[in-house]
Amino acid sequence: MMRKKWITLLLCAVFVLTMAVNAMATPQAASPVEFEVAIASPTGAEGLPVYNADFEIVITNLTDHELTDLTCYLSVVDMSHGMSMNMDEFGVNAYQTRSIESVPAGGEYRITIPVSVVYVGSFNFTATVIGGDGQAAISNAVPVNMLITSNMNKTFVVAVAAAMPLLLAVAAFILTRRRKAAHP
Amino acid sequence: MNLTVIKKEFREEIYENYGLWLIAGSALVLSVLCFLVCLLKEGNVLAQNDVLQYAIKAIIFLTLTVAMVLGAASFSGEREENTLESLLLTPISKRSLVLAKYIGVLAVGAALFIISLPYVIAIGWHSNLTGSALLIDLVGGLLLLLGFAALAVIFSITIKTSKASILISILLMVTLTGPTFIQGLLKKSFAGRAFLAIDPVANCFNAMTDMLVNRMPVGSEMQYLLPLVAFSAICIALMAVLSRKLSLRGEK
Repeated sequence: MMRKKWITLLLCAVFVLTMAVNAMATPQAASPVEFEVAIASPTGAEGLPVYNADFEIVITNLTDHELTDLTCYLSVVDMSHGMSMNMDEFGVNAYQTRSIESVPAGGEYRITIPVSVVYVGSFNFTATVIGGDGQAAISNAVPVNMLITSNMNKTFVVAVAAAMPLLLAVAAFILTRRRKAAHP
Repeated sequence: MNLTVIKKEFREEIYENYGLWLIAGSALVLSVLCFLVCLLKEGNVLAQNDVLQYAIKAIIFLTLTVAMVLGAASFSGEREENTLESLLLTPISKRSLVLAKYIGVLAVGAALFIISLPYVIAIGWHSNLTGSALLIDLVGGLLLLLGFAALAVIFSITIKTSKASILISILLMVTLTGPTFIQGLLKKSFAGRAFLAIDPVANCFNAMTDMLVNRMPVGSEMQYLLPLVAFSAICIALMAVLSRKLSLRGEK
């Protein structure tokens, strides 16, 4: 019993000490916004897949000093299915993060990320920039609506696809039985 | 040509070699592919002519596989079941026997092409491509079937066991079918281009792409269809020549 109490006491002490260290404590006040990010182009798209576009992302330094070691990446949400998607499904270069060595004080930095949308649905693309100190900024969402391309009568195709194997299986069964009856 | 033997072989392929169930099974495979294209999200991005092309490729591949297996087992199977001896003792020429087996295999293949027609019609509905798709499915597919079935029967005549003849037939089919899916890579080299020029499957698929994507008339596809005709004719001639070598033990 005594040992348990000591261990509990020790754990409490470690917890209090951890909270006391500034790096591990929850920030009490939000630090001022140092940068912002926006997708300059395209502002939106609606069309048929496959849609290829170069997403131009602008990172603006809002401070009076140079910002270094920023990381930028794209994210996508499939609004029509209510799920996030992997960016690697939107082009071979779309999922890679971009490193920004420095943005001059009050200046801008532009990144171009090629994106290829091959799916049907409503997608919202956003760019995220993470600073060296962990501060993050998310851009405006760019809606991309991809419409159905095929004029195929799906109901008809599904009906044929459902009926054919059933009909053939029944025909095979009947013919085999008839054959067996005729040649026992 | 002995019609009685042909009828007997046809009945055997349909009833005793599970031909009917093979046809129903093939229809099930095509149906599953149709369901995938219609129900999966990714299927929506495929244009109607793309779906038609995939469907025709699947139909041809399925038909050739079934025909190759049946053809490759035709004589080697009889040999393994010890029924070839009685077959050879009948007063029917070896060429007629080979032809009867060949027509039996073709019948199953042709039946597979016929059951694929509703699928092609349904997929190409209201697209103005149905006629071209049916034409390439039937003409291109049948030409390939004639050639590949003849090759399979040749293997069955010359190879002793059905296991070996089926394996070699399938390997040959994969060898001729596989490169058509990497045409972009093969076209970069002279050897690749030469192979594609004589590969019957590649010629059939190129004619299909021209007719369904570039909307070319069938008359302009002779550059692709003539090698197919030549391939089938050579295979049938070879089968006719090698039919004399049909023996109880298989050629060494």
